[in-house]
Amino acid sequence: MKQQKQKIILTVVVGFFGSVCLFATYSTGFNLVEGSKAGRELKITLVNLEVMGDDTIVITFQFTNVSALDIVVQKIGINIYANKEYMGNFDMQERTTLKQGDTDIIFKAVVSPHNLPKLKAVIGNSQEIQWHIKGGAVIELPFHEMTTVVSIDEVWVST
Amino acid sequence: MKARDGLEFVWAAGYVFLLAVILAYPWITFYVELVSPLPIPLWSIIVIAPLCGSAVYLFIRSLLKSLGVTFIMCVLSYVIIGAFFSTTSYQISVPHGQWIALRIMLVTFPSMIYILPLSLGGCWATSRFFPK
Repeated sequence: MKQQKQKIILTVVVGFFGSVCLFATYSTGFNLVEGSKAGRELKITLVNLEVMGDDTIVITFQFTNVSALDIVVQKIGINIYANKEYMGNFDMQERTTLKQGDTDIIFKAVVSPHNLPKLKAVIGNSQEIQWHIKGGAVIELPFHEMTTVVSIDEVWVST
Repeated sequence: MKARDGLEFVWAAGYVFLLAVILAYPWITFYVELVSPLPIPLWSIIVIAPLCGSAVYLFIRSLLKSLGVTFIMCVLSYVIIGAFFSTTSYQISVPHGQWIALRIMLVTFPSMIYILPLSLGGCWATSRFFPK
């Protein structure tokens, strides 16, 4: 009877620590799989591009987060080319949280006065403009501020 | 009587499984520390392994049987580590994921070797302090 009681106490103690470890193991596996998906399977698509006013290019990116984790876009940095003409390097440091699914981020690029004549020439001389956006986004995963870079390489044709 | 024996067996099997999970956890968290919600330093295994061995002896109260069960517990913890990394690498579907899991298993194996004497030692030492 005494041994049975001792066995029950041991089972309770081991059960507690074992359950904690079991839960932590499950949680570690979940984080590992979802963190990997968030970093490797994040899709960035260019869904709209407009020229506003004289010098502002407004680009809408669609971020598709396939993981179950909430991740954060820390920074977006891109080079813009219009009909192969370099329009400059632009970045945006606004933090945006990406929930599971699609999130649109609007990026405003103000072309510098140095590149402005090239932009005006492209808009004035071409009926069709082929935009090429090249760069990357710094993504923060919810583990000890771990970051990863997802590249952006998109083409848009405007008439 | 048979049903009671069966129940006792299931109880003991569950108990040993939980001990094996406790024993495997420091290794799992060691390889993927950044994503672990409860990181445990790997050196803690030096304390955890003898304690698990002691827990086996205190449950069974027979030195010979508990040494055998401790051996099974160590093998089971190794299997748990393997199952963890195989299933996660399968789900992640990284290139050569199964090879990465196999490599982790091969790297872990020599380290698991010294867990066995530590656990058996814990089991034996407890049998000296708490004889049958």
